[in-house]
Amino acid sequence: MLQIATVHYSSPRWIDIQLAHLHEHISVPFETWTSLEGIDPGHGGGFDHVIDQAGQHAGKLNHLALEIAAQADPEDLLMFLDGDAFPIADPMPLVQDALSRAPLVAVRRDENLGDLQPHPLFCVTTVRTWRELGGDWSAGYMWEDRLGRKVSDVGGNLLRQLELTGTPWVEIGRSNTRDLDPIFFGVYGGVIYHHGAGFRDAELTRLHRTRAPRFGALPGFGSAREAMRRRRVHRREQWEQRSNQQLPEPSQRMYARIAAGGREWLDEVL
Amino acid sequence: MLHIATVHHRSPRWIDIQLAHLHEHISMPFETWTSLERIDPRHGRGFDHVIDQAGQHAGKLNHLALEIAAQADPEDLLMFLDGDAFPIADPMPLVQEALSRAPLVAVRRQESPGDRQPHPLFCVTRVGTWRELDGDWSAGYVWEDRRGHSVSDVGGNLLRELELSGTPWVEIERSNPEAPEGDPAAFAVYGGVIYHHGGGFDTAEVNRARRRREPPAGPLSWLRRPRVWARQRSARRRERWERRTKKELLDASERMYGEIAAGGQGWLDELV
Repeated sequence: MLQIATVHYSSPRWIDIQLAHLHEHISVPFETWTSLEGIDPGHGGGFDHVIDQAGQHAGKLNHLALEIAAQADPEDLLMFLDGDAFPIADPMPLVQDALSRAPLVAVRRDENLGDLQPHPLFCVTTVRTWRELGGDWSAGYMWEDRLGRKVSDVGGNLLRQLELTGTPWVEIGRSNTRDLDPIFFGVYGGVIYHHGAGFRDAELTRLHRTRAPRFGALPGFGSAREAMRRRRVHRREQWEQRSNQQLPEPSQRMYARIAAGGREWLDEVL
Repeated sequence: MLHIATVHHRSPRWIDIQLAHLHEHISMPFETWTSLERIDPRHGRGFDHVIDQAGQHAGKLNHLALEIAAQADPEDLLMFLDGDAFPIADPMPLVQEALSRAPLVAVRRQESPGDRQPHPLFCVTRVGTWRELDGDWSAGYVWEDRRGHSVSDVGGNLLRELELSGTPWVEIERSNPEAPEGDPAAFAVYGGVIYHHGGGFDTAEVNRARRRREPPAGPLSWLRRPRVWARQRSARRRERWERRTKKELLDASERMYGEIAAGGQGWLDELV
């Protein structure tokens, strides 16, 4: 049995799309586990298990895995899938091949300044492996990104657990041939679509923030220095505001095309 | 060996105080593990292990435990201690007695409207038990608080892990009275051995415990316009309360911090 853990938050907009694609493409029996914080419980009818949760995304995933492990067989497969991610083809051949080579397979977002960690937008392992690893999706452990800066993000602690236990994992990379955005609207391994701006239409990623205006050391001293600092803060805020306003438009356009059905929208990314 | 995991964030103000009290009161050999996000690394000299970290508090604690477990003996003790918490007496007799009855001992903050979960401000278990439990300090799992609200908080998933595995734990409760005003969860002593300042790194936060003292919304009229006015009045009253509360909390917190930093035991006499 395949146990699918996915978290929806604040908006039900991806639920029907995700469930339809799961039922269309997953070729093995599966059960779905979710939480719907801030969403009318009426939207939970299509899931097998709806669990009350509150908190951050990583903690919710950890908790779903805990509830699954309490009921599932240790040999069952455990799939983590972001709420705004879904299969666009059967992922099970890729998963089975990967799991014949390593105990865990997951997306690695190299496009996000060379992220090193497994990402919960799509990750599959067995329930037993997850328990043995003491799997934890939280950020905490840091690595160096492509710009030489130390960063952490969701999946950081899982990366460290894999390193410390010497557990190999299979990385799935971005396979888009057309990039409408360097991070959003991603296709991974040719089988999983991840919208990326699913629940937070206006949230800039670490990569997007590298395009923010850069400044050198503050010149002068006293009030002149303070005035310059304030001007820079203001410019930075203006940039953030402008960027935040620009992000939702392509996201909403793509969402509308996906929600309309069919496969034409895939031509823009595949 | 005892391994102490504690996270400091943004301000070094509690580091020297915490380390001094640890060395004064802990009666067995121990090593300290910390992270100092946004703190000058020079403040890390008093710790045995300083680990680079970023993220939320719970994830940092999980990561520290992971690093400890990779080096420690499974029989070693693992203590979680908030950055603004420290012993005011030797906690080890209480810990040893509790661990003879259950595999985990932790503070339970009844004063934060009926919290049910173990709190990482002070928690001790064995490294082996933490690994067997797949310990996780994240919020996620939800319970009902004293007001009937569904809530989760740091320690929520650990509570669920204890429930699902049928693992008993010993709860340490607050042993000094709540201040009649201000933050009910602040300036707390637990089990007579651990002081927790509360809001130590974010004194302007109005947390769930503090909101117990928020003024209730006034009655709403059935008529549309008076109903809108009543809502606006309530919102303004809450904003004023929040502003006033933040200032009061900050003043009280700074006053107490000043007394603690000055040394001696006088500040404790006010509390216990």
